Amino acid sequence: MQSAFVGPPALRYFCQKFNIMRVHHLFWGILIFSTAACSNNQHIQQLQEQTEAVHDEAMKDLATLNRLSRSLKKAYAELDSVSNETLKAQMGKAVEQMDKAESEMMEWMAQYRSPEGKPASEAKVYLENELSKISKNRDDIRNAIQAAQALQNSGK
Amino acid sequence: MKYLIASLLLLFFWSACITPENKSLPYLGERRLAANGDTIYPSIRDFTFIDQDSQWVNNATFANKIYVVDFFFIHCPTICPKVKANGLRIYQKFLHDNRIMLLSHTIDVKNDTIAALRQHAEKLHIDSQKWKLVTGNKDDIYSIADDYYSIAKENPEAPGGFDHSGRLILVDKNRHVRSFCNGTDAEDTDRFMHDIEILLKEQFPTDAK
Repeated sequence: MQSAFVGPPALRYFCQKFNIMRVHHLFWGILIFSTAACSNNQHIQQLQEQTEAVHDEAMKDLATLNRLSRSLKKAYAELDSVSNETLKAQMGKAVEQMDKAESEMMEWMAQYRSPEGKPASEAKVYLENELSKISKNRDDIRNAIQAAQALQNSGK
Repeated sequence: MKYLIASLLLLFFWSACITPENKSLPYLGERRLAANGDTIYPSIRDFTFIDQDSQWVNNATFANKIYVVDFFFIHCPTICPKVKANGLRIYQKFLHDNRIMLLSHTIDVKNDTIAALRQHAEKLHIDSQKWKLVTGNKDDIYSIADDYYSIAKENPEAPGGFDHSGRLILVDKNRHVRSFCNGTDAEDTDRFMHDIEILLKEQFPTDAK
C-alpha cells in the first residue's frame, strides 16, 4: 500500500490510518465533500436572499395598506350608524384585517434573525420556516388591500 | 494657436470645477401658482411626534435649521442597517454644525417604543439634540411619509408614499424638500452630502458655521 503514495509522510500516514488506497481517492473525497458543502451553503444563501426579498416586496405595500386604512376609517366615522350598519361592519372588518396583516409583519421583523453561524441543517430548516411565514404575510397584506379596495369601490 | 487651445482647455476645466459650487438646489415637487402670481412650492405640514428622550418634536424643533429625514424600523433586516450606516456618515460629517439636524421616524410604533428608541440611539452613540428618533400615532407617521415621499420621488408620475426604499430626504428651513438620495447607496449619499453643503451656503449665506 505504501508504494501507491507519492507525497509527504504526513499525507501517507493519514491515508494509511483511514485505509485510503490511492492518493487520488483522497482528493476525490475532498472534492466531493467540499462541493457538497459549497452547494449546501449556496442553497442557504439563496433561501436567505429569497426570504428577505419577499419581506422587502411586502414592505412596499404597507404604505398602500395604511392609506386605505386611513381612508376607510375616515369614511367609517362619517357614515350614519343606523342606515349603514352592514357597510360599517364590513369597513370595520376590513380595517381589522389590514391592521392584523401589518402587525404580523412587524412581529415577523422583530423575531427574524439572520442564521449566520448556525449549523447548515439548522439554518436550512429555520429559513424554510421563515420563508413560509413571510410569504403568507405578503399574501395576507395583498388580500387585505384587495378586500379594502373592493369595499371602497363598491361605495363609489 | 497652441497657446490659444491650451488656454481654452484650461478655462473649460476651471469653469467645470467651479460650477458645482455655484449650483443651487431645485425645489422638488409639483409647484402651483398663487392668485397673485407667486409660485408656491410644496411644503411639509405641521407635525408633532415624540423622541427617544420623551421630548415633543415638532416643526419648531427645526426652526431656522435644515434637516435630513428618513423612515425606519429598528428590527428591519435588509434596508435600514445600510441607511443607518449612511445616516451616521452624515451625522459625523455635520456633528458640530448646529444648522443641520436629522429626523428618523419609526414605522413600527408597536415595537419601537420610546425606551427601544433610546436604546437604539445609545447603540448608535448619537446625540439626541442632533438626531431625533421619533414615534407617534401610526397613521400620522404614514401620512407625513406620504408627504415627504410624494415630493421626493424619481418618477413624477409615480403615486408616491412610503416605499421602503431607504430614501434620505433633505428639507430646507422653510419646510421645502430640496434633495434626496438612496440611503442604501454610499456614492449617492456622498452626492447628497454635497447637496447639504450647497443648501447650507444658500440658506445661511452670512454664517461661518
